[in-house]
Amino acid sequence: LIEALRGPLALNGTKRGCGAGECGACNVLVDGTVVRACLVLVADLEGCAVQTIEGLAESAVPSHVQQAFIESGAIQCGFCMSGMIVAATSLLAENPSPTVDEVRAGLAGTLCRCSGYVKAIDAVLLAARYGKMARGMSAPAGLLRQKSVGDAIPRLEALEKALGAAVYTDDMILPGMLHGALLLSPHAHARIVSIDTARARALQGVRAVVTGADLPAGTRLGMLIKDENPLARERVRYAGEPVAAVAADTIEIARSALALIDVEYEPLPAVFSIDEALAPDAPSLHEDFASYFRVMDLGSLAKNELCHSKIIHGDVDAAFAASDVIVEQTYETPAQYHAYLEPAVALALVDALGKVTVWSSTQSITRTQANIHEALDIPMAKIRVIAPRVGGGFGGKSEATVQIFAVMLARAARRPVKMVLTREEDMTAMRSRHPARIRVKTGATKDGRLTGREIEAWVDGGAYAEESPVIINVILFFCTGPYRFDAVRGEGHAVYTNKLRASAMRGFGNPQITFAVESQMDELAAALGLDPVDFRLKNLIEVGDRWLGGQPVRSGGLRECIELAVERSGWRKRPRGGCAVGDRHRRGLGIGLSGHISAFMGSSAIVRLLEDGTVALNTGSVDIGQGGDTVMAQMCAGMLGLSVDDVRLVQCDTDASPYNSGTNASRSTHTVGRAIGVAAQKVVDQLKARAAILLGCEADRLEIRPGGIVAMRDGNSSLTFRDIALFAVNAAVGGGPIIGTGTVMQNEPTDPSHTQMEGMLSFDAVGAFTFGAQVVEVEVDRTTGLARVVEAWCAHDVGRAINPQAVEGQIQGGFVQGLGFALFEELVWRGGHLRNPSFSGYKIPSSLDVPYSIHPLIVEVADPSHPFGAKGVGEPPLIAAPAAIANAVADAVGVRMRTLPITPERLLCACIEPSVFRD
Amino acid sequence: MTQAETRFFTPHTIAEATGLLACGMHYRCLAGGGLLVPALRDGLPLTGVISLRRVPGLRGVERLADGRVSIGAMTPHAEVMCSDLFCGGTALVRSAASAIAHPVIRNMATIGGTICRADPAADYASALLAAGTAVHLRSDEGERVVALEDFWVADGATILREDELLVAVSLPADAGIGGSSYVRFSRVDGDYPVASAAVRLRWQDGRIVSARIAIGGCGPTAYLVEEAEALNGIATLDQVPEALARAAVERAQPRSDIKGSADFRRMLIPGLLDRGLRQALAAAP
Repeated sequence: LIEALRGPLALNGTKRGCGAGECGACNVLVDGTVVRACLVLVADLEGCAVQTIEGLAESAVPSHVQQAFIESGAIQCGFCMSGMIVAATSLLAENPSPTVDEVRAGLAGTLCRCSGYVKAIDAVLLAARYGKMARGMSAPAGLLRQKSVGDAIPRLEALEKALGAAVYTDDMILPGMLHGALLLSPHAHARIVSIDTARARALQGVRAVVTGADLPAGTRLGMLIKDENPLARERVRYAGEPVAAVAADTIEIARSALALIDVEYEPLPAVFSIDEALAPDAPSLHEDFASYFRVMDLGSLAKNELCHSKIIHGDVDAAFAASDVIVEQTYETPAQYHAYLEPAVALALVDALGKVTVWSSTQSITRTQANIHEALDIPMAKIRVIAPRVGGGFGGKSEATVQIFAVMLARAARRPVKMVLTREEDMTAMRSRHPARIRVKTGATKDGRLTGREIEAWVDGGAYAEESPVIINVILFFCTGPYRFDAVRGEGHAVYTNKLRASAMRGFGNPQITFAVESQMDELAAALGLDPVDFRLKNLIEVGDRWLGGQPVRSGGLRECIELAVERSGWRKRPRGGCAVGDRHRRGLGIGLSGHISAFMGSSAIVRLLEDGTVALNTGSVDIGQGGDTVMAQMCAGMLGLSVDDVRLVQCDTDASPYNSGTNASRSTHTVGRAIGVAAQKVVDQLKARAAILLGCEADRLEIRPGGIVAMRDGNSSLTFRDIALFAVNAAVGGGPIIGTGTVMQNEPTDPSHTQMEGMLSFDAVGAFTFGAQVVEVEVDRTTGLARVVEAWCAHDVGRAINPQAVEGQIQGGFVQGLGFALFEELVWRGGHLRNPSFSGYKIPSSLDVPYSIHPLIVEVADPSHPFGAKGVGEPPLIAAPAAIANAVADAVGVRMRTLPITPERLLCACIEPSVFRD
Repeated sequence: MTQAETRFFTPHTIAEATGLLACGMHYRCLAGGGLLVPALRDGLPLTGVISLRRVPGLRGVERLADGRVSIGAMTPHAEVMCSDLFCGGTALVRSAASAIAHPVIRNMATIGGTICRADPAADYASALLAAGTAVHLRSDEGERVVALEDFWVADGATILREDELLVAVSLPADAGIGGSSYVRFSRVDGDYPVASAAVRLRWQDGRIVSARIAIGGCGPTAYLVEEAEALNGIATLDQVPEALARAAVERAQPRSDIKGSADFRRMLIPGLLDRGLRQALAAAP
């Protein structure tokens, strides 16, 4: 059914997230019952009524359920929304007044990776209320006020996402478009002896077959180390590495052709773990490593090591000597899969002049453009990259993958080519979070003052480096956590193995190190006999202190975050050591703090005044579902005294947009916001200058007033933006059309006299520090070992909440990704082969796996560098969660879990009780 | 779509369906679609698919004249979990149905499809076994009725002949007497259970007179713990008799998979058994 809906019927609101009934993005109603469209045959539906998301609205007027999802802020990337809204509609039809738990149960199995489900549940409850109101009373549209900075407004594009009308890359069809399929290596490590594509080419309907031999000689990809051929040449280094690609008239033909590509492999010995890779007799994965181009100092390397970093501040040995208590432990974290609901997808078109246009699901149009250029040696001026709606990224779509294959095939076939990965392919060939092993040693005096810390960290980078050097750098950079230390020494190793390349993922190394060091803070507190909160409060880093590296912390509301989370959770009223709930369950509370950054790399913005007095805002910053578009528009509106309705966002398009490095590193609100501030201020200055001419006064006597008005501060004269815009574009005097541009690059040099660094990227552009505190309540079932989060209080200092509703959604969704990372998410390989490449094998949280009570607590301590004081909150909510959960488990059952995920099996084995087994 | 190359049949009687199965063309029956449709999309070569959706009499729960409860093969889990024909000793069937996967899947997946898949970890596996279920297999040659424990051979393997259609399952007429329970453990909500325990107790004059216990997810098929008769005569349960817990574990032949190791499954069995027995006792009159 899903093929029929999305194909001939062009009802693209029904999404394909897995093709196996496991995600719910394709929920539709058949004779009023919700089913998965991907599990239904059209031939079996004769005489049945099928209703899709498109059929829920009446002539583009949203149903009360759709309206409730819009208003509740439940819609983020939107890719799961059709399925979610269809499920909610059916739930409410059967039960018009559901309880929270009935809603949780009703939405179960329809996966959302962005929201953490809380706002989706709110939406259903709101829809239930609307359902009871008289028709016509529902959904008051004009309830929103100013719609500028600080207002909790729904996403600008929420309506189209709720209606199923938002266009994602896979919803696009071009005339003559072919379908691409990818051949993946079955071997974890092998020499490619030969590839014969003749049989595949001969298959009717096949239009192009490309292999590594079709890549320009000598080009290699890699953000920091150029070590990867987008299609394997001579050698494959992980099972799942792309080897060849086919374009054909249909996807079925393309897939059939893959089986006709004859590849002869000569298997090579492989390494699947950090220890195996670093063993003296290990096979070398990249013998030519020394010749690879790299953009940074990688330190002095052992075999299969791709980065060896060191960071030293003060005299650690002296600090340990002055300590009364020293704790040393090793912590491990797994490969987490990004699990965006929209699999990797790209559509490429090559015109007669050789210009390439690519629509794709990406976190960065500029990185995608650069990657295509690097891989295929096409001048960047001939590559145009556009981002339609993006169904989630979480770091996994930072660098290009399928885009390159789609372009290769489109050039070879001289026809447009779309390539969409299946869920299994996406899990096998895209990316994961870096598995890490971190040894941490920390000293403290008996009165609870931290002295020194030493860490050694290893990350498994997989077969290619991509961002691995920065990941290990970031792990070292955040190894203090938000605390003061006399001395710190860190050493980090990023290592090649014959596994899927690891990459950026929400938090970028910080969740791994924070799990380790925040777990150890509790262990130290226990050793000192101190309450974990009190111990932390004694050692907090303060505004004006210097972070590791030597840069000052210029703003931060960490103390406020802790106070809020502690107070709301009732931490002080609860005994440490947990409490029993019935015979077989125990509950406990845990805390975790996070320090992170908000920035890195360059951003820019162009603000243009249009003739009607509204503005066009162009930043090139892709909204991957986090709400960037809305927040950018709010900041632009806020600078100009307009409503977001008066701000037109320009679609991200490398032909039009200014440079933005990407939607990463919790950076958009902060750095793009700063660029918007600069650009909008220029518009303000120009508005005043033109108005001064028109009003015959000095520009400094003028002010901007809400509603697009420039007025004399001490008089009655005023002009609308429209008046000024018309003057600016038509009058010979005044300087012409009004446009403001801004570019921003953080430059806060690290200080070698404070901290010595080796094998590290420059951290001069690190940006503003951000802080958070989370308290989590966990319940452990002592019979099965299952740990469940019962409630969470997540306090985050965001500087200024440009859109509190979006901030709450980020906090809840980020926390839930951290919950999954802490308790059950783990990609598992055996012999180099991924054992769980599906949503049935790899579990992400569903609505019944997370509590409804995830309290987002917003703290606002303005950052001086941002026009509104705002800092990012994309990553922080995930970073503290695993440690807070592990600390809560320890509180509940007295067992310290140092390996994630804390699966029931691991926990049961750790707190094994003979009575349970009756042996 | 792939099905264009596969013949599609929509029989309107059971005889029509069994006739198609008997023709030797290796046609496959389509029930909920959870397995077959993705397999077709992946290119599973099939000569023909027989949709059972329009065959009357295959869907629904009913009490037969002789007191047995019959569940049509095409009855989706959502319908079983809403039926009021399960009580006492058969209440565990409804509990198991409500524990399967998620609401949308329960709208689609059927009891017949689940039984024929013969996944030992399926929620129905241990629950139906403990309930004393029989399966009704129809072919052109007539109907045979087989106890569930004889129907399953191994993971994914049954004694169903290629010309046979599973039309219904039935629960014994007196199965409703007593108390029952179904308890499961899974990694996350809606996942296949790592292990499950199903218990059916009969009660007389304040004492257990018969007990039927099945364990799921811990071997090539769900299995009955025959040592359950050790519970006969017991009035209250302080602890699960050690011999019984030991027997339940010893009968297990679990394998390790992504959901958990074989040892973890063995570790879970006594606890689930304990929980199941307590719940069944609490449900007994």
